[in-house]
Amino acid sequence: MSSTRKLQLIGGLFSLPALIIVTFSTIIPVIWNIVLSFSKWDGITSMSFVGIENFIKVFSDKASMKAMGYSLVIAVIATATAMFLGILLSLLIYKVTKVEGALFRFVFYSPVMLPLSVVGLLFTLVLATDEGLLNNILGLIGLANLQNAWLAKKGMVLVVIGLVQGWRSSGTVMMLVFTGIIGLPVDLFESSKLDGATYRQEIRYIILPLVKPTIQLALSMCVMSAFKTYDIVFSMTGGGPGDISKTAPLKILEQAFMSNKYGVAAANSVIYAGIVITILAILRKGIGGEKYEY
Amino acid sequence: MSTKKMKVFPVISRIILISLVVVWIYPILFSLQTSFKTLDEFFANIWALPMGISLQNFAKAFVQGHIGEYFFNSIVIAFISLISIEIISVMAAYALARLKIPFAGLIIILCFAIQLLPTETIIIPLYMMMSKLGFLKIQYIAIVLAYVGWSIPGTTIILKNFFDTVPKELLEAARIDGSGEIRNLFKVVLPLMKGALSTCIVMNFTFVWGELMWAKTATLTTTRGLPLTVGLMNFKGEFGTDWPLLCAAICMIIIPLYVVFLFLQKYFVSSLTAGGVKG
Repeated sequence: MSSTRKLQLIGGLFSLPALIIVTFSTIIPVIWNIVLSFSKWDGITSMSFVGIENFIKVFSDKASMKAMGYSLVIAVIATATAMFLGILLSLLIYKVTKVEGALFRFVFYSPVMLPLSVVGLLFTLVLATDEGLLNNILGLIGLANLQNAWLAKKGMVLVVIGLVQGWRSSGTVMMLVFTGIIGLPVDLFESSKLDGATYRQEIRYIILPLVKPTIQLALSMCVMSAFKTYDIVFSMTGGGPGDISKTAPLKILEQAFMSNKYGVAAANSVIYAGIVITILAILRKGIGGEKYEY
Repeated sequence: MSTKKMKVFPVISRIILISLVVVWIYPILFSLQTSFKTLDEFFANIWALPMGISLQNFAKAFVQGHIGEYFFNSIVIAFISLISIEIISVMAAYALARLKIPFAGLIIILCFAIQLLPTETIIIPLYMMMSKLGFLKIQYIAIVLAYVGWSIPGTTIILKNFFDTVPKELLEAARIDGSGEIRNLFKVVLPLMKGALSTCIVMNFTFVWGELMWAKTATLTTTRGLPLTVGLMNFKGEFGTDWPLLCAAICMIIIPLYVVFLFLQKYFVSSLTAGGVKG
């Protein structure tokens, strides 16, 4: 046996555990999910093939479409918030001293490692109508007319959840962009200083164009995490009050495990995955544009 | 004009940063303060400092609210998951990088693609598989199996990138000396990869410790073996608007995480850049 063959054999053995467990926990379920989306099944009787009926059902079901829309709204707001806050923070932190910067980065990055469900619960305390922190602060500083039932109003609740989710992810964006900025060659800044450029000009003409690839990377990461709307919604409102914050993941789980319409739920999840992947693909292609070498 | 601007900017930027720091940490400090109060104290005046440092809420949340039990479950789940993920991924990554597996490039692309799939497309069939196999009845196993399987692709990519940086000559020299592949991996390569491995452990820990959707689904039919995330939701359902008690539970979860974060921040940051899909 040649030595390459022998190495390959050992390699196969080494990767076997990974192959088995990934096949079991991801590949088989994904394939089965697609099969399920074309079938009718209540969990007990045998499955029957029904073609695209489930997809038609999802598209014509107002509640499912609404849930999809709610997920999109939250994802858009969360992504925009995270990108804006993250880039702003990184640009501010870049200009302070090293020690201060480390301290600020610690604080702003820390929510990223907290479980989303804990963040959600913490913010139900902040946003509660009567005893919530925010409404009490508004009352205290004489802005009582801005007090609101943050988590109980149609529309408002989605905006608020999106903001909280975006707030948590902003640390990721900040860290990525900041690492991008300190990776830029120092002489660029030196020559712009000599030319008398202000920081605003530096940001516009040097920093933002050059860290664009990092910003793109941060954007895809944000979009991916922004569509994971289950944890944050479940812990903040549970989809309620009524249905006004029931996002697609909650709807999918409800269809499967409460109404036992597994086929419809599977079709719904395939559509949801399709939307997420399409958006990610568009983002990657669409804002490719020019890259600068330095 | 421009010199004046230069002096104003540092002041303004610090004012903005410090006020944002307040936004970031005040909710946590407020919940810490509230956790020491009784319910009556809280409703009397939500701003007032607690009468004394009473740990009653913590004790109640820990025992009656089962937070202690959930903590234990989460630690067991995290421990088994992390060990399995790291061992299996190290072996797979080593095979992909150094053992001349065919189609290694394709496998890596597949690993990236798997990570793009929303979990919603996996959990319905996975629940049925686990149910058919009877895994849902055994504590931890359904949760751990899924976490391990979902984490392997990403971890393998990071570790493979690391193995690619280990000089080939090092391994070839060891092979000529007659050292076997397993020995090679553990004696020659592993000591070099403390950094990469820590990065992966921290990344996997953040996921395993915070995951809610699958943990909730996998424990729909049982009250045993619930991890912290699911337990906390039940806790909220049970104790509703007893804010001081809820705050005690939140603090018990948040404070240890901050301590861990303080010491391991470096690895949290590197896990961020290591896993990213570049380009």
